Parts: sequence; C-alpha cells; structure tokens
Amino acid sequence: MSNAITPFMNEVQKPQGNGFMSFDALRERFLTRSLYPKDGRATRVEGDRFADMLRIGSLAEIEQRINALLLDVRSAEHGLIKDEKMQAAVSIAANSKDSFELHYLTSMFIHHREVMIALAGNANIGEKTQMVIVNDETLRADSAVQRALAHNPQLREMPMIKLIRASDSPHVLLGVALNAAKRSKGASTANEYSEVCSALARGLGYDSVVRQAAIEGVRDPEVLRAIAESGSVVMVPRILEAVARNASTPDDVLQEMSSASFPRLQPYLSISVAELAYSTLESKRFEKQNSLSVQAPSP
Amino acid sequence: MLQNERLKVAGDAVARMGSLLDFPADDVFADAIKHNFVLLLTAIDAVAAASNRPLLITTLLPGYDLVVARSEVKQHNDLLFKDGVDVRSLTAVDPSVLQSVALLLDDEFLGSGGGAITFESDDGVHYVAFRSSDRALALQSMGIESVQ
Repeated sequence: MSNAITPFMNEVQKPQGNGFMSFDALRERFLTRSLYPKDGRATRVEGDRFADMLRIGSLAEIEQRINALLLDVRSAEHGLIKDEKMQAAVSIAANSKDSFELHYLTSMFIHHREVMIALAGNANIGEKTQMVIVNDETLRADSAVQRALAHNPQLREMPMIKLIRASDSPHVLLGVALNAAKRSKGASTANEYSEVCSALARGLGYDSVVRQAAIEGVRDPEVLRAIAESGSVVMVPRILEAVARNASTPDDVLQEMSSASFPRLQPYLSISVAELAYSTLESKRFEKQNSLSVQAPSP
Repeated sequence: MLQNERLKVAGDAVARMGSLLDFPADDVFADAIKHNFVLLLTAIDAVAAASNRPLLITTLLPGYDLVVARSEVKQHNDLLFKDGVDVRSLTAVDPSVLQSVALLLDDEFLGSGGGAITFESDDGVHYVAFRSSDRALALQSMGIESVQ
C-alpha cells in the first residue's frame, strides 16, 4: 500500500507557544520535536563566563573570551578522554565505515564508555555488534549507550526487540519507534519492522509520544482497529490522530472517526481527528480511482 | 537566533524592563542595555553552535539557568560574532544589566508553579529558561541525564 499520500507526522510546525510552559509540556515538546540529546548528555557552562563579557569594554578581549569559551565547550565534549590512544579509539568508533573494524573495536573497548557511546551511534555497525551492545550487562545499564544505539539509523529488528524488553526509558523506546516506523513505511509491504511498530503501538504502558511514533509504522489493520476501539483511559488525542492518519486503518473505522460518531470515544474525538480521518479516506479513494483509470483508453 | 530576532527580543526585553523599572525605553541607557543584550544573545548562540549537544548555562541570570537546544531539522546559519553587532558602541554598562533582566523573569515566574519560559527561533533553536532551583526537574523533562 502506497504511503506517499499519507500525511507525514513531522510536518513542519510554525513556531508558536513562546512563553511559559509547565515541565510536563516541556517534556512533550522535547520528545515530539527531537530536541532531547540522543545520548542524554548536555554541556554545561557557568553563567559567570557570559556575565564577565558584559563588563569588558575591549572588543579584542571579548573576542578572546568567546574563543576561549568555544574551545572549552568543544573540548568538554571530547575531553573526558585524557589518553591519546583513547581519543584515537573514540574517533575511529565515531567515524569508521568498516563494520569489521568496528566489531573488533567493540571487543577491545567494550568497557570504555566514551568509545562505546560513539560506537553505538555509528550507522556502520553490523547487527552482531548491535547485539553485543544490547546484551552486555554493563552496557545495558548505561543509559547513554542504549539511547545512542536506539537512535542508530541502521538499528536492526533483533536489537530493537531486545531494547524494548530491556529498557523502560521513553527516550530509548522513542528511538526504536522512530527507526522501526521509518523501515516499515519505506517498504512496499508489511515487514518485521511493522511488527515492532505494532508491539509498541499496542502497549498501553508506553509513553504516548512513543506510541504515536510507532503507530505511523503499523500496517496491520486489526491492530489499528483495536487501538481505536480500546477506549482506554490512557487514550490521548495524538494517538487517535495517528490512527486517523494511517492508511492501513480499516475504512469503517476511518468512517466512524470522520463522522465523529464513535460512541466510546466521544470525549476524545476532536475536529482535527475527524478531518484527518476524512482526508485519509479521500486519499485512499483517490488512489483507488487513479490506479483504475490508468487502464482507461486515452482519447 | 537570527539577528533580527535578537534585536526584537532585546528590544522587547528593554521595553518591559523600562516599565518594570520605570525608565523610558528610548533613552541612551536603554539603548546601551539593548546592545549588551544583543551581544549576550550572539555570544550564547556562538557557544551553542560550537556544541553538538544541548547547552546548559547555569546561573546566566541570578537564580535562573538557560538551556539552548537545536532541533535536528534546521541548521544554524547565523553564527558570526561580529554579525550586525556594533561592539564599539558599547558603553561600560554595569553588570546590573543581568540583574535587570532577571527581574523580568521574576515577573514572569511570579505566582506560577514550576515551569519554564521557552522561545523558539526561526532557525530551529529552542531557548528554555527556568529557575536554578528547578534544575533537576527541568533537565529531566528535557531528556538530559548527565551534564559535563
């Protein structure tokens, strides 16, 4: 089933809502817009270093201070590695394109955190390496490594499943969901990644942002029906919207959503869900019509 | 932030400061503060762009932290320190500039529970200001687990 007509989840949002927001809202925003750091780390700078700049009159000195600040920030991100050999290892781990070299590096440096974090994020690591990272006891407990792996663009199905079982961090699960959805949507028919998406989408215990990302990649109509009909207390508008957007959702479900008459879900339905469901139905109709008309004789 | 956004944010801040602190927003003092502010924002952007990770600036203003996070979608273009900022026009304004800006935030936060003030720039950079006392909760909300 073609996915080209289904509206994309990540349509660019206009900047809005500047101003005060609760920490819960902040959390949602950072999750949905991918603003959170993949490996969970941030760089810290003392405010004094900026305050000082305002006290200085000399242009040259201000420039100097800013340059010093830039250097410090860059080295803070690489500088935990005091050893030159380690620095080299991290560099290879991050940049190498050779999966065998990377696997070898894994066995040598498995308990060196910085190397492993860089490795986990490298898109060139093979499935074997990914499994090592997800199976090793020490690494499993290291959230930065697991998060980096979860967001690895070449993450495979088995490691995905392991990550889901081993982790309850919403950031890890979101990484898996995004990757699985991409693989599922990119294929011409349902595949093993669609299954991963279904597993995450069905799980009522998962964060709603994770489920929303997963629903994008679900291709099983019955799973989508079950989600729409679950009427559970954890139903949130964004979940319904994601179901309404998905072209694999059965037509009768979409029909009910678009007429806003879905009885069990009355309190959760909104105009946007109805509109989305309607537009998905229209897209499917359009596609069906078009694929038939190609055979019509041209005048 | 793009340069025009810095100018706007600085201008808005100074105008509000003027009403809070009771000085006219168009006098020389206000102008100097505005230049300082733009310089500060430029410096913050330059530092944030040097980093691959979100930047946490602790106690940028008395009692407040700032996090700068870039979304992956848009790239940061407008980085040049010297871009549009006439540093030479700076008069030696007191560090009380930062105190004054902190007053603005105090005003916003007054009476609210925990929370943060956010701003999203046109080039995809998010700025989040929150009370230093809320730091742990704020970082957790933003998915930041460790800081270096």
